[in-house]
Amino acid sequence: MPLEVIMPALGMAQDTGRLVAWLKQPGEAVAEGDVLFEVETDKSTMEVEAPAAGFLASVTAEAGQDVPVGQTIAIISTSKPDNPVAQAAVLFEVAATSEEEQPEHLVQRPVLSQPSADGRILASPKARRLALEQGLDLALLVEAGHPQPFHVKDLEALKSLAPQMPAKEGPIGQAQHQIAACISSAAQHEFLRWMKEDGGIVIPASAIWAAFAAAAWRMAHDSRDEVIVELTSLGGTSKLFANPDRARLSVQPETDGVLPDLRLQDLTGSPITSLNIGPSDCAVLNVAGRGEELTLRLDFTPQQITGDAALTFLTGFAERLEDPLTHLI
Amino acid sequence: MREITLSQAVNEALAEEMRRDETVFIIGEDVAEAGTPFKVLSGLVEEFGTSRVVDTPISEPGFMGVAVGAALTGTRPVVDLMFGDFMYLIMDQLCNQAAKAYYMSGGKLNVPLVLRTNLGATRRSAAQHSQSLHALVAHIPGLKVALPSSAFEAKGLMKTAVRDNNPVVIIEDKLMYNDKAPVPEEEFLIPFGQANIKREGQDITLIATSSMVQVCEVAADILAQDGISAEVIDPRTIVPLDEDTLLASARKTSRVIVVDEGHQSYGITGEIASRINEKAFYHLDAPVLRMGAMDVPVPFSPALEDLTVPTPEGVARNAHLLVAGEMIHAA
Repeated sequence: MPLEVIMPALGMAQDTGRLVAWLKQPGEAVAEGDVLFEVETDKSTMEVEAPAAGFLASVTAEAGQDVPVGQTIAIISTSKPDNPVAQAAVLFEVAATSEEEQPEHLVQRPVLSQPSADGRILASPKARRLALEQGLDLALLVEAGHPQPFHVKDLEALKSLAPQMPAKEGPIGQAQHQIAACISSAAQHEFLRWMKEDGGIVIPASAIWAAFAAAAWRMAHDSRDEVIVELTSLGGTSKLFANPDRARLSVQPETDGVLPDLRLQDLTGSPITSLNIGPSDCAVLNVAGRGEELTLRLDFTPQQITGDAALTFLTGFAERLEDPLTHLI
Repeated sequence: MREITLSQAVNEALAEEMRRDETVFIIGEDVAEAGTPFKVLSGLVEEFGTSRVVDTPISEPGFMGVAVGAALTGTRPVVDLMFGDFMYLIMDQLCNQAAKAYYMSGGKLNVPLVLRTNLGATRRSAAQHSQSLHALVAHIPGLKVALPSSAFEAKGLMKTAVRDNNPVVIIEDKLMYNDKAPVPEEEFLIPFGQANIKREGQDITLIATSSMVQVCEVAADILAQDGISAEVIDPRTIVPLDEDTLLASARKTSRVIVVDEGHQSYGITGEIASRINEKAFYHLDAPVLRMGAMDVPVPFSPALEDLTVPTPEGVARNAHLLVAGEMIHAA
């Protein structure tokens, strides 16, 4: 069996040894204990003996080279080699210097730049949560060869990778959240009937919705800013209202050219109860139902409205619809 | 503010409470004339006499049992257990009797008893006098466990312990008896279950108990030189534990090391780390790290003994790895 001959460590703190000379030629027979080569360390030159009998089959370092301790520099074979090899050592300088630079107490960071076989991305819980909340796709970092596991600071690199990237669908794409509610429509019908019979005012239910939605939105955000509500229907019509909660129910001025804070989708009178066919640029409130019940569903991302605020909003909206007079007066 | 040693602080606290309440008495080995081997109780027998500072034979189960009975019949014993290592001897009296009397009597019986003892290695006292066994008692429902980290805490927590109507184990660091700290001359108490933020920081939280508070404060100094801002929190009592303060800090810094002098396995560090994992998981940017004493009998050899407990350099090193995101698997 061929035996590898390595550059020996002759001193306590020795990293490399200079090969002074080979005393056997490639192909030559050697006996165990024959002097095989000479090594110079910082202190002295020493002769190194063959560890076993055989033939010097291959020599992979030349006289004059500094060879790292432990590197194979020759092979002794049991049978006479046909083509004995002699070549210079391939020196791995990087390995030697990086070891020196690395403080001894620091463990080597196991960098996993490739995704694991099952496609799982390694990321800290906080990094994963923030990526989800901000609609960032960690897979992009993997594609960019960013070393895993990812931490919060890696999200900066991720943002620069995809500044305006629309969020991908799927488990690690943009988080689509939902809150749904079911209320009675009796109070709303009663209110509309009263408006008509007592005041002779006829308004669509959607006018009340727009006003209540704006008021509840304002309350959920604790803000006095403008609230823009877009009213859409299954028929494809779309109207924008600025601050409908501050206008009269019968005269709500339309606006345009602004981005809505909230889209109110009127699905009543159809069997459809909610509609979410792709990412929206704002939170969407579906109002659906036939007869005595109204179902409300809010689709949103955490950037559009936080979970807490969304819950406050939908609760406030439902409360207003179930008791319109109290909230209008 | 005047500075006194931890030893003086304990002495003052007990003297004040004994003056305030004549049912308070001290019982243990070498507590009277000797004032304990650490001289913590010196002078008390002169003021309060041998009926309230009671020397006992060398029989820990005996005097612990006497104290539990005395507590059940209306006094407030402060039991002095010379070394924390002797807790093994009094386990039944403490954990089966004192800790459970209130529950098993349907609330009719109280055991207002304080067990005073100590912890801490690196005093060259060998394996049977160097253990930090607070995890043993913290595991038992019905016992409160206080771990003072300076003379200030030693006094404030001791006074609260004496006034508690149920058993309290208060464990001092025996290496800290001569350490001075500012302690107010006027009376004060430290409530149980209220952690102390020793130092505010942004990048990493070091939760440290007892002897390890000093270690972590030095570690925070080291880290500050490297531009890492470490928050140091001392829970002061591990039962009850001020979870809110620990969790708020974990959520703020996203990185936590829990440092305690008890053996690491199945210990205080594991318990606190687990609670943070359970309750602040999505705020963590790195695994919560435990740093306890090595899982070996404490060696007598000074060179070896010093290796078994967490050091400021070790804490700082791990903090560096966590902050750099390079702590993949803890050693």
